[in-house]
Amino acid sequence: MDAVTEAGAPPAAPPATGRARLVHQATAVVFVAAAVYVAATAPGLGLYDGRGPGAGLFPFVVAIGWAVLSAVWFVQITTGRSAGTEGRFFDSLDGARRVALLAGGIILLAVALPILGFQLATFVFVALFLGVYGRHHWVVTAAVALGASFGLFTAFTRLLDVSLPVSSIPFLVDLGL
Amino acid sequence: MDAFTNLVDGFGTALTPENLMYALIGAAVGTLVGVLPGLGPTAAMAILIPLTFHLPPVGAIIMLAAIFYGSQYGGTITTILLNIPGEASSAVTVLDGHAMARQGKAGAALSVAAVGSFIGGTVACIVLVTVAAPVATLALNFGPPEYVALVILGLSLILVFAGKSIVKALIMGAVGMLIATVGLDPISGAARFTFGIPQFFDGLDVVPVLMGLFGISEILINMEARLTKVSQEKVSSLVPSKVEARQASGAIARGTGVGFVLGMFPGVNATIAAFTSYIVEKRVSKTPERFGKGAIEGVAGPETANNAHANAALIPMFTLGIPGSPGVAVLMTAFIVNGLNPGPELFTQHPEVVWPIIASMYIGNVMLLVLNLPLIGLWVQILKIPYSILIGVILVFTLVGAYSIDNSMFNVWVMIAFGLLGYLFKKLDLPIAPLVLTLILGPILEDAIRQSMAIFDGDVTGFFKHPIALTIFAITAVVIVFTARRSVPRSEGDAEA
Repeated sequence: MDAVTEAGAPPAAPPATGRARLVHQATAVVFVAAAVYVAATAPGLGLYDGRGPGAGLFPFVVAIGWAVLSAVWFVQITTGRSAGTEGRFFDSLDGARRVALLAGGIILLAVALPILGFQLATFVFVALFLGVYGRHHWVVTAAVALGASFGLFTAFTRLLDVSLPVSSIPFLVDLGL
Repeated sequence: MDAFTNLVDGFGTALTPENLMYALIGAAVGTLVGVLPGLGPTAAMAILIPLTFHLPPVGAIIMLAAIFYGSQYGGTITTILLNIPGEASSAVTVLDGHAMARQGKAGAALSVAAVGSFIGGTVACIVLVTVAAPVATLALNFGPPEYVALVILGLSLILVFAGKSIVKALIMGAVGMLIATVGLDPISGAARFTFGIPQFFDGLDVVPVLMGLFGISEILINMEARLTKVSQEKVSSLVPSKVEARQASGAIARGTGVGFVLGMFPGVNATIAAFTSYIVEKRVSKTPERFGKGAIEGVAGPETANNAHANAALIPMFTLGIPGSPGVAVLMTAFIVNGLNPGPELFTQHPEVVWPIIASMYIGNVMLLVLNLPLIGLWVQILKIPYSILIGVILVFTLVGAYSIDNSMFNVWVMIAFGLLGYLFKKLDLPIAPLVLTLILGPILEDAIRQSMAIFDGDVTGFFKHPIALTIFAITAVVIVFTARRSVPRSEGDAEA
């Protein structure tokens, strides 16, 4: 389903031919390289034996196909026969920043979970997320963050018997986190 | 026992308070997912699968199936009132649905859409009961060679899912197949592409992969676009006039037929069914100039068709084990993680599961009718919740879901990795549906090929001695040729698109 762009959002960035194409080309090259790696290592798993196909045959055949198709795609991009390769990769710098911040936030959250525990890590993440993206009143931010962290932890561990990560720091463990 | 007796038994299970609650939760979540722009039913099901691990299998699948077909109802509300298709399959309803709302007929449009959805969904359920068991019985005679043919037929859907570029679709199909090969080979025990990481030995769990590809990537895409609220039309009387009711009744009947027939063909999605129904209505109308300006047939037909399609689309999965769309593929994953293999043996080996699920679909459709008409005001109020809050909470649920698969951070990392990959794929216009299709069907194909080759003593021509397999191969050839011919202008136009 399509997203709804905010009314009055900044106008689309002017086309900058080449940037999106470069990302497409780089992806095609990575695909070819990965396919070649799989095709090169698959024979070591055994392509065929007396009983029939070995463990390596299926990935070998698929990897050959993947390599050929990715090469064709690369040629299509380079010769301008593949759609969506003109202009910028991101529609706006603002959008790219939002995506990078959120992606980085999710990764940091995953790193923090086994260290700080679900409750504290999630509370900080949701509070920061709402602070950065929502800019709500601090009471709303605090209430949602508490519900999504401590509230969900209680609901899942006590009611649904689902265990969630707890802190690995003794001080926090003593606090029940 | 015949289908009717089985269905009655199924109702006995589906009508227990516990299963009614799961159906109600699924119907409510499905409506919510349909109402909220930015989160599709496939993503919602993928996110919720791990949370159903703690539920009984029947209840879990009843709930997920209700989300699947329930989202079609909810999508209509935003389409008509806000001019925002909650689901892609409701997009065509914008043309006349929102036009009716602007004329003060939002209530009539919503009620006709809900009643049409109910009739389409229920009739599709009835035909599903009639058709599914005989097809499954026929498919019980299938051995490995027939399964090879059948899965290849299923994989030919990649061409249907291709969108603008067949090359890109095939690339993604190959990626899915190779991801599916990670882990210990079930026959030789050889470690394939595990890089010495013990968690890879059992292969990548499909659920966090789907949660990442659909859930996380969709959130990232929406964050980039920045969502916000828009103005809405008021809801008037829900009762259509006599003329409108008469006009809508014919459209509902035709929409049911169109949706059901197209639903049985894997790869033809609900959006195509809705658009086809719209075209049919415009063609049969004596006043086609009304379409686009608030013709009630333009609401009734497509909304009926997309619901009939959602229920009929389950037939290929139930009977042959072929998921006809990404949404059904996620639902099929729910069956698999609950130890149930969709396909002909489902009806003979697990009748205690499959019939209650089918029975629950009747009940779910009734619930959805009740949930949608009197509670329209409530659903519209939910749209007032700031998107940032919804996304924050959904992200936490996604994390909990991935972690709870086996209480380890490994699946959380898998989900995040595939979420970033899914975002990249969407930005590059690389279709995700073929990847999901091959991720699920790839291992089945590989096993069937290796078993067949063992049966044939390595002689590939053995396939030609199996008439059913040969017939399916012939059908596959027709599908490929037909789809490829239809796709030629698309591929050529790819450059200009």
